[in-house]
Amino acid sequence: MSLAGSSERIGFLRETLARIEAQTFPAKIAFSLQDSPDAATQGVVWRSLNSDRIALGAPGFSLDRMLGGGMQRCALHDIVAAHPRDGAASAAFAAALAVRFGKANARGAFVWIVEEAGAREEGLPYAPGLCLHGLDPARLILVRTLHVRDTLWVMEEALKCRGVSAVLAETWLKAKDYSLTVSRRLALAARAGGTAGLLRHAAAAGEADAIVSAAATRFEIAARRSRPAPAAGRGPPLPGPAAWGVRVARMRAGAAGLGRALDWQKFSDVVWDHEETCFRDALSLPMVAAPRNRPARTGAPAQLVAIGPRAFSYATSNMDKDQRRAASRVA
Amino acid sequence: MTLADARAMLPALVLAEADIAAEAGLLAAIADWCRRFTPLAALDAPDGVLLDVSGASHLFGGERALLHEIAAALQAQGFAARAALAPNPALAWALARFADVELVPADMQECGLHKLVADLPIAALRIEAGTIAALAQAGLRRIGDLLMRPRAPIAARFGADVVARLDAILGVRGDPLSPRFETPAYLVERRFAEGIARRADIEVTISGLAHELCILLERHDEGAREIDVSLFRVDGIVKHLSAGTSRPLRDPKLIARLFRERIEAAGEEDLDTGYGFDVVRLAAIKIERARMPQSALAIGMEASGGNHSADLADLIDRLGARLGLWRVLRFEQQETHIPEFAVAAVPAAQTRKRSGQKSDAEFSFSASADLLPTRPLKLFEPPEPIDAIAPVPDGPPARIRWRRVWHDIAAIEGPERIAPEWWKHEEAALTRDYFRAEDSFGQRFWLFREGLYTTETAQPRWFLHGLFG
Repeated sequence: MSLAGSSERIGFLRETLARIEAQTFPAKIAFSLQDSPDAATQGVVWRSLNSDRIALGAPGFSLDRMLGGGMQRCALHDIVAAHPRDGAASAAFAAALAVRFGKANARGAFVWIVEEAGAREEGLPYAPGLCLHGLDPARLILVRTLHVRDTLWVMEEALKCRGVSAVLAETWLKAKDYSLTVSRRLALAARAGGTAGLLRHAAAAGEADAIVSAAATRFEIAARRSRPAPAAGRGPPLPGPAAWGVRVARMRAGAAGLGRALDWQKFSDVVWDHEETCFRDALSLPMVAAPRNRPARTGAPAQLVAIGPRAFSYATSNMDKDQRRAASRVA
Repeated sequence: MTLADARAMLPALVLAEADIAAEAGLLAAIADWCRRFTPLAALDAPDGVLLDVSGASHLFGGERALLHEIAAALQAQGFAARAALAPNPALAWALARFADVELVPADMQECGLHKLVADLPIAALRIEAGTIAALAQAGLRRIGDLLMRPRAPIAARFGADVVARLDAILGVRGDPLSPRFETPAYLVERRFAEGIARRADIEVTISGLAHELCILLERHDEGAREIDVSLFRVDGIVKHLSAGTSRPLRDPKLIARLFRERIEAAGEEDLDTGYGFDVVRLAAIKIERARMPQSALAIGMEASGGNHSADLADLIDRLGARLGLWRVLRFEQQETHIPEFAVAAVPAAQTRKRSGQKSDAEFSFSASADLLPTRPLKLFEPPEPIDAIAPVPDGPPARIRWRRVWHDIAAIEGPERIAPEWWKHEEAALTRDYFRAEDSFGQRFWLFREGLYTTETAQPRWFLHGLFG
């Protein structure tokens, strides 16, 4: 069955579902978008019409297009590490998402819930590090809970609070104890409070596809080698900015509405620009690195852009802008 | 009398060792229970409780009725207790122990008082046993014997304490009480003929009391920062529930909600309603001046969904009431460059020390620095010891072993040298060289080597202090 056929039946069903979900999902807009097959324009239209979504990066960011214009603000999102060693990477990705949500709601606080087991295993959030990650520690409230039960309760209460922009809970909840009921409660609380809920399953690394939940999206995060900067003398290179492999393992009312299939197994590599607090495609990394106080390598960006076929039009336009900016900075 | 003598006289004597801690605990519980009569209840170790009932006795039908109520209630709980009421604590103490008179009205004439006191034995002065014996040797057995003699020689021979106590018992000189609990600024309570035991009833009662308390607070333009609920159980046990707030609070609904969380957290068995509570008291322990919009306006704001920061403060209070204040934290920068002490986590409900001045620019680490993050997202407390292989003893590591797993270092930046705070005279502290390292899988670590090779130590140790994202 082709989606481009846009039978009325599907439209009707989709509208009914949207009503049941009581989301601010604009069924009609999604419907009309199918007329324009160009994925790029879709992203733009989505962003302009759907203020309920938060774009993760600059216009044309691959993950935003994949998610249909960004992440839903008033919803629950699951974050799972791809491997036990990727725990810190997934926490940093979640914190970066919280920064994006915090940007959209400048007055709101950010609640970070850490279980005692997690604090022993992975350490506690460190304010200077958060600051350098782009998250204002003055707006952070850290809640340390003893049990999973407390974590879920605190998360629900915090999600309902209108003075909070995002809630990040790192839970050691077993994947089998996490159910539709539990996640549904959290999702409803997030919708009621207009808050973003980020639930990181620290105990379920690598089980992203086994989790059953009512979350809007589920991300699987893997740590990636950052693009290293060459060291001054001999010896190993210097580490670059944080980079992750991000897989959208599940998306509610997303891909189908966009009228194209999503590759559920694809990891897209992204980097976090802590200075501008936005995500970028790992492809354009050299362009990001250029303005920094590291030696810029001329010529490299043009070679790299050719690799990404879908991002091509954007990357080139971006590149022009970035290069112009870089040039003006140098000048 | 020695134990052997006592046993010889009464072979069936039952022996029990004195449990001083348990007795002190019991006395404290009795003092707590006595707070149902007055907020000013003081422990009088080892065997008494002093209550300041000034202005409270009429609530119980007069002084005599109050005394009878106290004595009867204590007897019902199984204590053999004597109670006496007098214009000053020293006299009340003496009467409860050495006289049949149990009530001395506050307006008693001086001559009558002297006559009453004169009949009491010297021990009623509450002076040291040695002094009592010395006075007895001098033939002074009653307080009257002292009263009729000049004071200077007595003070010279037996110490100034005797005269001071004499003044105290006559009420010439004040004898302060030190109450067990701070006197609350505002207090409302409700008494029941029979104990209430259902949780719903208790919550409704607290909610009703909260309304009364808030009317009091509003009249004085103040808000509560610390609120305490005392539940007096019929059989003499007192339960305390307290809740701190992050801002002056004067909303009955919020107060009631705080205590609902508190009761929820305490749980059924900890609350232990037993035969029920017959007095429920709500007290504002700490208050703060708070100019708030009038109630009608506040309701209007609520309807428009305006006040987000108040929402957040309520959330902090509720989480604090349920989990404990030390589990809901915010960060405060400290004046030190030692990484683990650079930031302190303090309860979010606490007011900021320097209010307003450095609220947002508090953190000097700013993201606008044209550098990559040099501090990790997560910090281990304490740092975890690791094994490291470095080509040269004072160089960066090539491989590290953390939690029994070897990591090959693919990229590394450092060292960033952090010296100990020599001005604090910490002798054991060593210089640390911090490295940012990335392994072949992209895991990013914050490592440090403790001790400078050869100058400080021959065997520098390696630690993993944090993880970058």
